[in-house]
Amino acid sequence: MSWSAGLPLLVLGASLVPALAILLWSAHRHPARVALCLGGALTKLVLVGVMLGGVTRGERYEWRGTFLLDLDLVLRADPIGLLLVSLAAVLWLLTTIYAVGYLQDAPRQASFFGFSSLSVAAIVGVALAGNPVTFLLFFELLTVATYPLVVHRGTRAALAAGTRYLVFALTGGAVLLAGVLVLHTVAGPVDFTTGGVLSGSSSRGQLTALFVGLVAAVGVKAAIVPLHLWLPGAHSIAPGPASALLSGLTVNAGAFGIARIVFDVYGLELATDLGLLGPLAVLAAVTIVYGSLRALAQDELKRRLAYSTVSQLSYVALGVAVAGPLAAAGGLVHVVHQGIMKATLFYGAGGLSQTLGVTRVSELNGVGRRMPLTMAAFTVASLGMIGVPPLAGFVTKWVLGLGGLQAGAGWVVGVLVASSLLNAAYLLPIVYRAWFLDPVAGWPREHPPTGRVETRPTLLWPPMVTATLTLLVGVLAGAGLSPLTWASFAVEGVFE
Amino acid sequence: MSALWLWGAVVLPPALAVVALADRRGGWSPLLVAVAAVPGLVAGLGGEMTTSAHWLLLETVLRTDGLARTFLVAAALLWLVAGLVAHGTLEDHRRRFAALGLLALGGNVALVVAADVVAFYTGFALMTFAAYGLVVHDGTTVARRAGRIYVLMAVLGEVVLLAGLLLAVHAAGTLQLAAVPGAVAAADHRPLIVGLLLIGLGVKLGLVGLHMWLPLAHPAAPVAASAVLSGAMIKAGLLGWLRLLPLGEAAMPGWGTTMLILGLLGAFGAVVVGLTQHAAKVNLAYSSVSQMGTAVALVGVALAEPAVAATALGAAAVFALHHGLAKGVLFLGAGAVSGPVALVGSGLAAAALAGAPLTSGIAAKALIKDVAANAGPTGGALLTALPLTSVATALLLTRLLWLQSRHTSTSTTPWAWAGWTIAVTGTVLATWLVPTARAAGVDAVAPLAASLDWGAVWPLLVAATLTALVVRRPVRVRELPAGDLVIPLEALGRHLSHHQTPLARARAAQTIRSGPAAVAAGSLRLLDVAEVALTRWRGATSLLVVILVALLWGVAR
Repeated sequence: MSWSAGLPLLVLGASLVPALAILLWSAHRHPARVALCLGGALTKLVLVGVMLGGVTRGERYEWRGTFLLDLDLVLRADPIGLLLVSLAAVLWLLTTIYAVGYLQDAPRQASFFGFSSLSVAAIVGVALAGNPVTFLLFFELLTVATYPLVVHRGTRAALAAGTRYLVFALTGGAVLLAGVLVLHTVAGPVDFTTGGVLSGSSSRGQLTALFVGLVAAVGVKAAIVPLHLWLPGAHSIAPGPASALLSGLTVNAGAFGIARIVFDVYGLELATDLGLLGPLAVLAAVTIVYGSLRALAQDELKRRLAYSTVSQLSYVALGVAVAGPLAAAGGLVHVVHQGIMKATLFYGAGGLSQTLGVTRVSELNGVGRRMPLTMAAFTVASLGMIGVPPLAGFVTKWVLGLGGLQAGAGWVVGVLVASSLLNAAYLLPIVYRAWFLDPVAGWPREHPPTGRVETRPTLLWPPMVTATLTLLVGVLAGAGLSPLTWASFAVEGVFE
Repeated sequence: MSALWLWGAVVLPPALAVVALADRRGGWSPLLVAVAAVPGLVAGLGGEMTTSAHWLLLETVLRTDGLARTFLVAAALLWLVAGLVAHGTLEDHRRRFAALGLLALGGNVALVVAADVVAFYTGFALMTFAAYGLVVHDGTTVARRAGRIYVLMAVLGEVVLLAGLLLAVHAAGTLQLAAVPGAVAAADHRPLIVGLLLIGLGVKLGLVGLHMWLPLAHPAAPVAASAVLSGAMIKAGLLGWLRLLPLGEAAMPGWGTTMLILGLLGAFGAVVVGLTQHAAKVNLAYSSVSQMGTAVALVGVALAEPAVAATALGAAAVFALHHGLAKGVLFLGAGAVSGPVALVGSGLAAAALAGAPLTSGIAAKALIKDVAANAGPTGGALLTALPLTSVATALLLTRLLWLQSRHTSTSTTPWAWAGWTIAVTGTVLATWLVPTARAAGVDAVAPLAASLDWGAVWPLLVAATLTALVVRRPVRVRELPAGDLVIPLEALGRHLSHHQTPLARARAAQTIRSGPAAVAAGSLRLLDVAEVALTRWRGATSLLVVILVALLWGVAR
């Protein structure tokens, strides 16, 4: 097998092999598990780096294998997919380190490390999938792999949230299966192709219905209102590192699916012609505002953050649906931006709950003095979410807003303004409480401080790194290797 | 003059903010603020230059043109002074003050020298958010309320500004600030863009109707911060207007007249409220609203009459420099230094603001007069009002000097006096600092020579006469609450949240405690109920089944 065909397989295998190894063989040996995960994550980082370099030079990485009948499995590294793969590599490494500290002495660690690796493998598969069948396969695998993370605690509430998640995800999966079958009937065995594969192959009514079905199916994972109902419960009940991984990384499967459907199955031209993008954009806008409104009403910190995910994720769908090069770049780059910011927030929330037992916004008074570094990272990510320059979220909002105007959808600016105000309304009170209010006597459940540092280093460093990245991807947005530059490069192909 | 100074002016403050964190005991870190201001001062006094970095933000370009240099000299000098005074006066949380002050300084310098829209907005936001920490520094109930209102209005201003900038950049097709006014003038949505920019930046400079945060926030901050808040930071709004509005590119008489009216309303209305105040710093904050009112009126004239726009820009810059330095001295007199010497300094600064002969004030006002005299009916109105603003300012600041003379502060330190001395020297020399303003197309020395003019003297005589009358027969006036318009607004919020019992109950369960936010939170609980119902088995599956059926039906058709 040649190097260019092997590389996508290796990137996938870097997570899949540790996942299977942990789940099947080394269930009882902690150091081995961690070593497998860290080794896999570091390998993946290096491989992704190589792939990014190669794709910049115009190389093609594609692996093709026969699956069933006339169906192929295709793994292919295209620029859009690499955005998500890079995010996966970074967040997997950091979350593994974080989980070592977070789960210290907790039961069922093998399950956590095994299924988190499997989730990463699934999301990488989704990102690299070169045709609808491959996409479907990894999309369903993602459901299977993330369910154990949601119910990890095993409490009644966790199981209930998990069941709700399964109901939504499996129904969505069933719809996706049906959709892919229909697609296969209509268009034959096709690869994802920029510009679409469907033009002139079927009646407008059928194409519209298929679009609705496909988007609704992936829309469950993308948490588009009203298909978002599973997310706040599932993401907030999971243990801290799992929340970060779910809300920062795996949710992107849905948003990413929408981009694939619009760009590579229907093609912008056909999707626009059928009048499908307008309603999609409106739905995304509604989700952005609705998610923020709901976040405003949550006192439980992780629930508030989970609703924020509902809202922020639809920036991606909005950018895709507005159908202009700049807007699409703004939407796609938010996959990375949302990922690192949301991971920072969930790392911070996990650090607070593990160190002080603080889980509610109303308990946050004065935590900035007790855990200054954790809260500094949390503050940076919060300001980034609001869209304060020069942080990551600002870059998204700026490019997306300008892209909306460029595509003749000026109302996007209005949505961004409303969203920024709401983000400020639900995030700034947290920052304010942490830094400027005096602590109420004692913390709910404080673990004895160990040494001079505010918490375990493994709980501290991951949010510090992601917060630094939040700053850097904004400050260096114009640099050659920034996510924005990469996203702009990725959409160039779509809008030629 | 190398680009190094210019980059240093922007990069050094945030870099030193990190260094400040090492000052665990809160000893030397406030001095870093003074150190970090030096490159800005050098760059401002040096020549014109442009430098860029394509990898920074979205292709950052920095430029010290005439406008930038005038604003930069004033801002850097004030921050230098603020650093010294903060070092000499602050007792608690010195490290936090230093770190946030340095960030605000970095933002302030960046927005002044920015030549592209993103760098401008980044500096603007950095300054705004970092300054929040300066406003609430003391941690008192008063400071926290001021901080809440500050941040609420600031966030509103930021997002409105963002919308305006997006529209402007879209119209211009480039991020260059210099291209914006022309593009806005020719844009389809010109009134919308102009409106958004006027409001978004108007919050910062205390435009009447959006000024409520200012008389609360500026006095609540420690005195060193008040000086830069009132002296340097509110000027960011003015500079933004001068850079972004289509001044000289399009005649907008309607908008211009509106701005003129709002400006004059501020110039006089703020004096009326300010005169009733018992606290020197609140008096000074209202004086700032009043002074900025004059600047707003000037911008209004320039909007209405494109022909005078170029000279109006220069006049506004000189006015900003002059007011910034004088206001800095006055704030220091109201808390950092005391005694007869301090009173003399405040007297000099007050005289300058009132436009007394041989001061920077008369030079600034002569420039404004020059603009107004050539600017049709709006200019005529400003020309008539200008001497009256001098009368009003003289009255308000006489009251201030009286308040200051009765106040005997105890501890003053050499550092505070050092800062004060620099500020006073700057104020006295302000007009000669202005050579930088000449690059903006203005000769400020000639009007100074002509300032021994009856027109400059009679307003002061009127003010003196009125003061004498009041001293002979004192009148008792109730103190109007600081923040004026904010009081009915807060009351409205409380009213809404108290008089709707179901919502009030919902409010008790929420983290949001006050005002209209509580009402909103109450309505949000309805969504909770709806979501829970939908999340049940049947709700969820039926939803998805409907989609599935629709899909199959569509395909079968």
